[in-house]
Amino acid sequence: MDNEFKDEITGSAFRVVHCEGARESFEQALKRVEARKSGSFRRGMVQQIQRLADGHKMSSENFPIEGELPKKLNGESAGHFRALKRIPVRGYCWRSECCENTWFISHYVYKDYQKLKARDTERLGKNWIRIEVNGDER
Amino acid sequence: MSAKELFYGAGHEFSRAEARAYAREDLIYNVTEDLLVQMEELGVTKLELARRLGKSRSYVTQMLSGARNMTLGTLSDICFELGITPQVGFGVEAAETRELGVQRDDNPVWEPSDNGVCYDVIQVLGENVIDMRDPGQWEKVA
Repeated sequence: MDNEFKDEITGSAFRVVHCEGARESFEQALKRVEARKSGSFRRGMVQQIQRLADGHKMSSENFPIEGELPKKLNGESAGHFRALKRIPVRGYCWRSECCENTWFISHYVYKDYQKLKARDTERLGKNWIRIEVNGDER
Repeated sequence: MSAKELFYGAGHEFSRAEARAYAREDLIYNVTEDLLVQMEELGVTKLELARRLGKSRSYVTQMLSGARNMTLGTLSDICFELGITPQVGFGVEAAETRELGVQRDDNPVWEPSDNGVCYDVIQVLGENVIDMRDPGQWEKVA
């Protein structure tokens, strides 16, 4: 059986791309969820990404702004990144400026704490620079 | 292409039970998300909605997170209090082919209510449509 996973999907409005290691981070986060609930969490994240890809409006409750993206080379703000929120799992993502109609999901975390951690901002920032500044694809 | 392909291998086959759970959760997620979006656009908080419904905030929170089952009656009450009209459409083809997910129309399925006097602009979403603006039709399927 071919069990290959896709790195990206294209909905009716957007392409959604998993950065390198993103899916693995989801599996890591899911390990901390009660086993009997893991199926529901996986399906829940799929549904959120599908809705995002299809361009339907997302509520700020389930798709909140989480933190600031790194500054652009000219020092201007690049805006903020968001989280696909399925408590307690978060998928940090941003809408690309260099790739049209594309959202990149940096990574997922099991978030059983209140404040965004610096290491998550940092990890997303590295992916953002790699893609938006250095032109890497994912 | 579906988002399922990001998390399930290409060869993954859904069991009937899993497919059914997927369809159920997909409907709940998209309906509650549509309601949350409407509330944000209307500037109605959960606390305010709870007040209008005569329920507690936690009741509304559970309802909109999908943790508590929402009856059609409750959905109607919520929409009434928000001043919006729900339209329910059934994708017959999706049911026949047992596709995972709910057929969604490209156009928003929620419209601001104009006190029920908009019977002449029924939007046909599928072959079987329950138009809640038509009480006769609604009673027929209740």
